[in-house]
Amino acid sequence: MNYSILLTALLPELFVVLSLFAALGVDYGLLRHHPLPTRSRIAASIACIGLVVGIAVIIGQMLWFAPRSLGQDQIVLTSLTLGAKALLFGLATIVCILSADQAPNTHVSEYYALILLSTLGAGFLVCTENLLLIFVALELVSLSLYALTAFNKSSRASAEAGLKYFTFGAVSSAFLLFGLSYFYGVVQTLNLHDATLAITSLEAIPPLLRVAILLILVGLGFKVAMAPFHFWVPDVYQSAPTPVAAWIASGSKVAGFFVLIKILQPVAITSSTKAIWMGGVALGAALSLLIGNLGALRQSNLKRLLAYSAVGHAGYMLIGVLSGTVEGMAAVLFYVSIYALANLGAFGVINLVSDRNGLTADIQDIAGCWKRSPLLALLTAVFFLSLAGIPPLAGFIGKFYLFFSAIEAQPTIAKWYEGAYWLVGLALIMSAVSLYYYLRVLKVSFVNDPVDTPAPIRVTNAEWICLGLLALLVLIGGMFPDPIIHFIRCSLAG
Amino acid sequence: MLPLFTVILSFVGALAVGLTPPERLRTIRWTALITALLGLITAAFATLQYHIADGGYQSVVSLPWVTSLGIQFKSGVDGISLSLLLLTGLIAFCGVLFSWDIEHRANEFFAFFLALIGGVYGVFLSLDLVMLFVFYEIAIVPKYFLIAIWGSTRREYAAMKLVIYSFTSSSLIFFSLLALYFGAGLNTFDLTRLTTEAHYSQTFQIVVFPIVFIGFAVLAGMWPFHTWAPTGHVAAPTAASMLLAGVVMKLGAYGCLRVAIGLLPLGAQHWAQWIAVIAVINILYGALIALVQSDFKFVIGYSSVSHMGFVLLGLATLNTTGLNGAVLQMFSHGVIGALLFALVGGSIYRRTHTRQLADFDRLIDRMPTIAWLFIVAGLASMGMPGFSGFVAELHVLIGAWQQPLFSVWILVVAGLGIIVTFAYTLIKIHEAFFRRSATANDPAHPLPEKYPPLTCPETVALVVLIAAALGVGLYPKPLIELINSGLAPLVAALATGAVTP
Amino acid sequence: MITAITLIPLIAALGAFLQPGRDGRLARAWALGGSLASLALTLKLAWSFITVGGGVQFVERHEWIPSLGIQYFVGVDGLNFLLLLLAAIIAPVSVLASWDVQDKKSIYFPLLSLEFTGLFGAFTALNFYHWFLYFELSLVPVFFLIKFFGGERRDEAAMKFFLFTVLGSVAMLLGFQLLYLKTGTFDFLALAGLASTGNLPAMVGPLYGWIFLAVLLGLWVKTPLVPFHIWQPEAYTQAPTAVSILLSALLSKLGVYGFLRLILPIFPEAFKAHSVFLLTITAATILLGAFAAMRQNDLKKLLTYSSLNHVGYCLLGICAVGATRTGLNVDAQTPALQGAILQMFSHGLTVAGLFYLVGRLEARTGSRYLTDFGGLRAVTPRFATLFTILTFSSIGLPFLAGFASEFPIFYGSYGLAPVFTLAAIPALLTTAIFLLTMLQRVFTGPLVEKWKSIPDLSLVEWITAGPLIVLIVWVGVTPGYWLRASSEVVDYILKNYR
Repeated sequence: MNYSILLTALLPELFVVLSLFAALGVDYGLLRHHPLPTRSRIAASIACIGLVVGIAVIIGQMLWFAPRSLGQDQIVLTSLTLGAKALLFGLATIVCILSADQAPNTHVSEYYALILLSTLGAGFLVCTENLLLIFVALELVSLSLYALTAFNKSSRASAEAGLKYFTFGAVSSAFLLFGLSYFYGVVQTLNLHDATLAITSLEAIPPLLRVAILLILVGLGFKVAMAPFHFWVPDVYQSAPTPVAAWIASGSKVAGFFVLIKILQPVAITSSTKAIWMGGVALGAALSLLIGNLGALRQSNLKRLLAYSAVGHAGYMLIGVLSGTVEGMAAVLFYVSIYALANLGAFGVINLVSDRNGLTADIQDIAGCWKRSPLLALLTAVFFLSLAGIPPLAGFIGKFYLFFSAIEAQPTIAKWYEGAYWLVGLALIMSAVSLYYYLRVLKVSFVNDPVDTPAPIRVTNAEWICLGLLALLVLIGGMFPDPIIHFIRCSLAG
Repeated sequence: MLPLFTVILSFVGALAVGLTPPERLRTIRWTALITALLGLITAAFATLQYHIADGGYQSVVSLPWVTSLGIQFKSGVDGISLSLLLLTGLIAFCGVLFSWDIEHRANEFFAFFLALIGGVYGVFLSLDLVMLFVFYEIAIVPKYFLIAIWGSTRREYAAMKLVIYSFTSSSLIFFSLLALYFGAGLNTFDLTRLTTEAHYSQTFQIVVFPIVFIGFAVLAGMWPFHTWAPTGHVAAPTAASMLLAGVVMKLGAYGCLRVAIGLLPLGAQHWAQWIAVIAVINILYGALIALVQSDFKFVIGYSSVSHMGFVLLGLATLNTTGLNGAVLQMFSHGVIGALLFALVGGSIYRRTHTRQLADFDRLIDRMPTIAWLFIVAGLASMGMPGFSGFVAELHVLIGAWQQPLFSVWILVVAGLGIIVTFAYTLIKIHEAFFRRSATANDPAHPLPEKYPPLTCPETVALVVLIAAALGVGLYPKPLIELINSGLAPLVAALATGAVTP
Repeated sequence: MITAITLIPLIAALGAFLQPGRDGRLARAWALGGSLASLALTLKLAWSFITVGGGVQFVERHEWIPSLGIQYFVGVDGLNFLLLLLAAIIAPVSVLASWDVQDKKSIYFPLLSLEFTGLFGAFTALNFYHWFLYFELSLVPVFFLIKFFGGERRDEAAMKFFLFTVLGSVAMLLGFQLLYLKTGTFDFLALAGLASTGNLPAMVGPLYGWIFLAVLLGLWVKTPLVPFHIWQPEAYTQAPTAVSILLSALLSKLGVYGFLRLILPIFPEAFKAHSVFLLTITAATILLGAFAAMRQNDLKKLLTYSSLNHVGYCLLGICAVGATRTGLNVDAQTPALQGAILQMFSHGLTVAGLFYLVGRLEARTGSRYLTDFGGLRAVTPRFATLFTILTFSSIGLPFLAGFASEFPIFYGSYGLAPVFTLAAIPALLTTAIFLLTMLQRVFTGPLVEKWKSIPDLSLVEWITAGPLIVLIVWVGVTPGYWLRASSEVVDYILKNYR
């Protein structure tokens, strides 16, 4: 292996690692006696610098490096994976900026170090096609997230949520590992590309493959918040520090769906292998749609509401996964990116109105936002309406593309579990339901008067820029989605 | 290109108004008014520019949009959309005038208002199904805020109900859009190409037609999905109820005509008689419910449901006369509905601060001008000859007679509906303006001898609306010719659609 | 010219409504000016009206709604000539009858003027579309006039009046729509032309009978005939005087005119088939009117029922034509129909005068009850004379208008439908009895003390009632002159009934 190529390929990660150590070193070496906010800001800045440089390098790679694969597909760099990595780094940057103004506890630099670690993990996750690396990267992401969830040490709820997340996550990892090992047993290779070839050459489908796929689905189902494996989601989202919740809801979701698509690719070629998992995924999609959207109706906590809605969105995306076509995958990737942007924005707003004022993200925290900060109210509207799928915001085009691809994949009424029609129908009805709870938030923000005498909403310039950028992306993604769709589609098709 | 300026103007206006500080009331109002007026003028010029003799879609603008999904940005106008553009401009202008006294968050109000108008213009202009759908949905959200923030009577409930109905029905439309796209196999959502080139099988049409039709018809107030309409109309602030009744309900009817009937003529023929049955239920049911309402605005709300029944009946006839009547009725009810809401929700309510008919104490003496204007509006709404409503209903009914599929009973029920309409209008006029109130004569709070007279903006708006209703009623020829030019290809398609099995 | 006659009152209405300062006097002047201008134009028109051989005259015809083939089409022929004249004469009378209205003049007079427009329009329209427009328009002002200025039970009366009429109108509207559908025209004359070829029933098909019934229902209510007359007594009695005049003299004629313009020429077959039924209804109306009038104490109610009875005579003549059977006297058709047309005119004059005088009496005494009066001839001799002449005309005394028109009717109908004519004879006698009783109760006998100082006719009253009396006598003395106006059109209609 040519190490200089490896170095150039992993240059972005290198910068992130550097910034990780820099953040830790500067904080503990130089700033120990400075006040916490200063330390937090400096650590966040260092982390951001690393991430932004990383993004710059990735863009350079996209422009000047031919797509390549290293070490038997252990690291695959295509415009798609690079793009996904850039997106993840970008999301992480925004998470850091949103956290900068309030440190969850005294170990500020460790917080950013964990975020950067999970970013690294997520970055590897999208870049690799090796089963073992997938697992390792996934664990890297998960473990950092467990710690981050429980990071607010003074809060019992945060600790409880961390424990819950850890327990569920560990079990799911075990499922995934089992599944992956059985899978290996069938295909005799760790390389997904080779696995595809192996499976297409199989004459009959061994029962072991069925078990393997099922276990993998369960394992990944946990990670992407698919019902009925969603129980950790509401508690974790609610109790984790809001930026962490935002990161779980955006970054880890992007990575999770990327992996799901990747792992299912070998078994999505022939209809006989498709039949193994389609029923399960269809069921999962339907359940996620129902539980997520109906569950969100009754929530009065904003973060819990977004948690249930995350389950619901997982349902939409699973419809795209189900189509099993390139078009369907492109739709899922487009949707998950858009969703991550809007969701991050929504959490960012909650962070500003609740956490910053020491509140618990009750829906009334946002009351009277139109009076307290009209611009923030407008941004809230953009994020939530995009989540609801209202044109001309990106959420609409995302949904449109998903359902479009689902129906395109099954132009005729097929077996029930292929489900283009009934699932799309259900999803459409559920998106009408979802409008109810999203609008409720906007109602409180736009219609209600502020409760008592609320603290003013303090927003730093950096946060304005972040939220504004997110909103702009959501708007542009809705108005001019063609280049993005084109990009995803072309890079998927190779 | 010219018609497209209506959309651009409205959105730019919305942005400008929204960014103006709320204290600068005068600037906000005048900006909104000028925007609405410019929209109306643009629509009028677009109409003048349109060559009726050539027919078809004119001023077509076609730009690539989401090429990868077969979506274009394509706009254009024909006779039908022009007449509805004119209506929208008219109602927008009068709506702003009737919101002149709004001071609470005025900048936001007018921003939402103009955004809604922009969405409505957009729907009428779209020649691409997805673009149409996008504008259709854009119009939903401002409605919610207009009602929830500036409304009355259970406003949040009503706003939510309205939005959920709209959104659920639009998910039906969404679904059917995909079906239409893949059913045609042309890789395009272009309405004109789908109309001319797509050959949907009869089974496909019969299955898909009800989905599209119901999807749009919910917004047109079709029974039994009409229940959003009365509550929504009642809760909305005056200008918003003018818009809701005046143009938003027309969006639904327009969609039924343009998409459901235009693309699926065989499906339409298969379901026509059932639509007619529902339409006459609408007519009679709306009228009967209006008869027993005690809240004045609810009376008007249900009368809207009843009048939209005529639009549906006209659509169901599937012949030139009936469809012409349907579009005329859209225009007519737009104007008259807006007029009634302006009077009841605006002029009268502002002065009495109640809408309960039982609290009205011989208003004809206390506010004679408003009372007389209402009486004129009520006559127009009844379908008194000489007003636009009569011309429209006449076309619809003759169209219904021409449709051999309909049984005579449909016409009989419709006739009964007209009679009930006369009855409730007169009875409510009596209750509102002529009856002595048993409850209102509280000696501690005596009612004023005379309420304040109409303000200048109110007068202008009311006069414009009445003039429109009368003008179309007395000289409908230009409008009918305009509409006919738009209907000609549609009717031709319906005729040929019937021949091929 | 006709358009001008029709629209002048509308302009007057607008003028009266919009006049600055809301001065009532000006409103009155506008209304009177408008009605007089219309009268002047109508007289000019009448002067150049060609009674024989002129056909439809003063025609105005313009394209209106091409999608439905509707034209603006007005004209005068023998059928509506007298009615237009009658309307033009009654219009100023009704304004003068309202001379002392004090309250809300700026509402009263515009409504009154608007009503004139409706009536002029409905009498001259020859296309269903705007005929219906005016027909409906004529309801509205009456509704509000009753509602604003009527008696105690005005609300009920107005509502009943409106809803009943609308019920009929809607039926008629649906009927005409169907007719349009089968024939492609709303033009009365074109429809009559089609009908005279005998092809209409075949063109229309099985719904022919229903269309006929629908149209009939509209006119039935409007005229009215039993049992749809129940709106009438309340409306007539609760209305202010001028409106009672308009209702009895003109609006009821709108129904009868409808029979002549719509039923007879357009539906000859159906009309023939239903004539016995219609005659039964007519006879019942005549008898009911007469006998009910006998039992009334309220003068206005008495006149209402008597009006019901007299309008019934018109229909007797008309329906008898339909009942022509082979073997009966075909020559009797012409007098029956001509008489009916003239009866509309003479009854209009007579009943307008009577309502006017009753109104004046009520203005003087505040009462309309027969039992309150007595011996008024002693204090108001001129009033009594005019009242008596009008009553005699109503009874049908020779040399007065009533006789001039009722005689041909009875002559004709006896020849065509003797049974029904004989059945109606008791009504003639009853009419005489109750009208004479009325005269006797009011003007003779001992003078009631409290009426001792009521004034006799004023100048305005002379001006108002005088011309009516002159016309009544004129018609009574030279009936042939007046009958001649309708001879040509009657011949045309009767072609279908020979």
